[in-house]
Amino acid sequence: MISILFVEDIAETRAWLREAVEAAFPGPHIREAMNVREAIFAMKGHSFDIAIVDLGLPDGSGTEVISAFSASRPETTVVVATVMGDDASVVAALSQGAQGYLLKDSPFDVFVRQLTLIEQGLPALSPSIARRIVEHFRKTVISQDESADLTPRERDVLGLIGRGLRNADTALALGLSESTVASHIKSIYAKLGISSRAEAALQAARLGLMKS
Amino acid sequence: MIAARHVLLSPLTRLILLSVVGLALLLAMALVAMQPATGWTWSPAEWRPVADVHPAVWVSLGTGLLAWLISAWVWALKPAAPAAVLFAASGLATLTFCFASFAPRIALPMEPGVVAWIWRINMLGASAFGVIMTCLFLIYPSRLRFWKPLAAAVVVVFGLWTLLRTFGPFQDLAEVQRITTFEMVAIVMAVVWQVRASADDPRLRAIALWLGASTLLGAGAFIVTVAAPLTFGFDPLVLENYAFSFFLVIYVGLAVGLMRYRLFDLGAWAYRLVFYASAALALIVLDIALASLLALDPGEALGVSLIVVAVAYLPLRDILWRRMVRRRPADADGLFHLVLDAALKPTAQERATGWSNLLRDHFNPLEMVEIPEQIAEAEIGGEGLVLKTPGVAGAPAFRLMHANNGRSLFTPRDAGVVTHLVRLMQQAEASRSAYDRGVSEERLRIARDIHDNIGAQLMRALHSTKPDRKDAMIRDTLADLRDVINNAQSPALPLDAVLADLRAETADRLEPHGVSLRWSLQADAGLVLTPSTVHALRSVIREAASNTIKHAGATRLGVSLQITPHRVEVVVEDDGSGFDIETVKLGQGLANMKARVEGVGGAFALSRGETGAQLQAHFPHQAAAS
Repeated sequence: MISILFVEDIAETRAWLREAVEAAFPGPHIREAMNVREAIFAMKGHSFDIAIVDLGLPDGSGTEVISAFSASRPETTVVVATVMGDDASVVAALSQGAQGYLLKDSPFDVFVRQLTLIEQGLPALSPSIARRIVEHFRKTVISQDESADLTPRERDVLGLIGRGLRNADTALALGLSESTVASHIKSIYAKLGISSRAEAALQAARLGLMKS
Repeated sequence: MIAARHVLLSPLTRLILLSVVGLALLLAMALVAMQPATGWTWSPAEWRPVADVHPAVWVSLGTGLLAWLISAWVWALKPAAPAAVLFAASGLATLTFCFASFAPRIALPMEPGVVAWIWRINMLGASAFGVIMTCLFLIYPSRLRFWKPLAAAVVVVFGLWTLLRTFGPFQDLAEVQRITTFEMVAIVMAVVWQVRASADDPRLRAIALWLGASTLLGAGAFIVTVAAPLTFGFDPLVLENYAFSFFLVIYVGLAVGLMRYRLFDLGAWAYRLVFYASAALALIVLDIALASLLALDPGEALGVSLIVVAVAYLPLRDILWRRMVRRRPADADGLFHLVLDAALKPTAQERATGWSNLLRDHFNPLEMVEIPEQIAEAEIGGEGLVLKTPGVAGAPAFRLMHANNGRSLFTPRDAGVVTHLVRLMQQAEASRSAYDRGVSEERLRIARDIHDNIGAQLMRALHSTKPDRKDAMIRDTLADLRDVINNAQSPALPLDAVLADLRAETADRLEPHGVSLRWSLQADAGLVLTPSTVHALRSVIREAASNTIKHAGATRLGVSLQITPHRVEVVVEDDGSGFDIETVKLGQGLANMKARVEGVGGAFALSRGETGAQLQAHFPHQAAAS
């Protein structure tokens, strides 16, 4: 039985999410939280398979919840669910440790399908976010840490997705399997976090906040 | 030449010079007082110890010096104001009669002629004090009626009386008590008159009361305890020299009154000058102390001392003095930032405050007042005492007086700096208002965008009766809103980005229904689309996809786009069951699409294709090259 937490402050959307989760997974264990405080509380008491987190919450930002999960519940797959969240804040959430994102204004069946893909470890990536990520890496080039930089293959994947190809089309175009594309995407998400942290550390060192 | 005038005109220099003169007089008198009964000597070992000299001597010396310092301070700031001049003169008189009041306490044997001269000086000083104070209260705080003849009468009557009793056949040095007592009566009359004359001006009245009360208390206490008893043939209640300290009440009262009532039009800033003067005097005293130490050193230590002085003390002293006296070098970068800070403040009032703070911080004037007149250029007046700055950024014109806390004069370079600052400020202001204009244009554009697209779409959704139509329209609206947010900085959207999003979204929608997407695009590279083109394109493709999902039972949807800088052509076809073009009525969605395409001057056609339905739309547009 899959256990899912969603953090969402709008009641109607919570009901809609519950419906989508029930359509995607048979007999899920669902826990709802309405704000950052409740989400952190739920996180401490239970290990979830998936956490779906809204970004704009009444008592703070969903990114706080995401960081808390990456710090103390790394086993949970955290996904950002957003409607109006602009690309920049989605990328910020991904760099905080989110492993995918969902658009809550997708048609019901599209949303359900993306949920099942996430559960299978096949995160989706939209063209605009892919472009934003490319931009992010262009701006935060860190020569010292090669592990934080993208591989040429990952750049190919981002490039094709940015032009509107989906995972399957990208796999076809690059002669890869769809699961390989998905693992590239996951790796890109992880590097987003590394590069953001490295960039932050570099900035801190430049500003003299750190000793070394 | 300029340097000489500079030195003479700087209030700080004046104050220090006068203080040094006072101190030197004090030291000279102290030297006299400490001489032994055996005769004059330069050897300190033979001088009388300080404790052996009668305390009355020290009290007299202290009183005279303090009165002198306080009045010199006022005059240093307002050398041309008649009241300040009179006040300074009164301080000089006090110094004179105090310093010449302790002849019997001096051990040094003196000839009777010298002693007589000391008493004459004492008498002249004491009488002059009364005359000067009476004249002061004839013109300050306000000029009384007939002040000229009255002042002349006071000077002539008391002057003649004093001179007659000081010199010549009618000499009677004891008469000083009677003279000063009568002068005191004159002072009281003048003060009372001042208080009455200033009945309708609260500030002048407060000054008259304050200064009058100090004077009456100070001089009055002396008259009551010393002069009056002596006048009427009794012994004084306290030793005359101690009673002199009552006069300090006048001068301390003045110092307090400066702060409370802006006496002589001096504000609290006058105290800053005292601070700097004390620091400067401290340096001088330190120098003297060091010099005397050096002189006392036995020969061997002299060399060491000289080296220490040369290596450590002189540079340190130089640094201290420069820090205190010289102005900070004008830092162009720093000034630029300060100007920007001031110019970019959100409200006019904050900008004006920023500007006046900038002037105050840069020039450190002792006095800075707004002036009503408009001036075009910074100008220097009063031979460098005054700098007038033009108004800028909503701030008024200012008159700055006494640069650098009274330590320097304004120079043509300062006027140049102000002109430069004003120009910077104006430029920054202009940029800021251009920026503000840009922001408000941007805001207007976004508002128009929201009104035209988002508002209209929500209205359509609201009035739509079919739930799935409502959903589709609300989704469109949300997508548009995302565009507005993500591309808030530019009204135009790059073609590549728009079509990539549209392609991915369409494929996502078709997938759950087992429909595959074939997408073909022919477009000139680097085209940028306007929002209305994007909306039209998006609604055509979305509506076509919805139609295919809903009705066609298709397995494939082909979208082909041809976009040139002036024309957009879209062909969408599926392999579904199609429809009978003769009988089908356009659904709500297709009707909307048709309206939208025709609304931007295009054409819309629905036909049966080779395998299924085919939709063709084309419309003109204006694409900007990116």
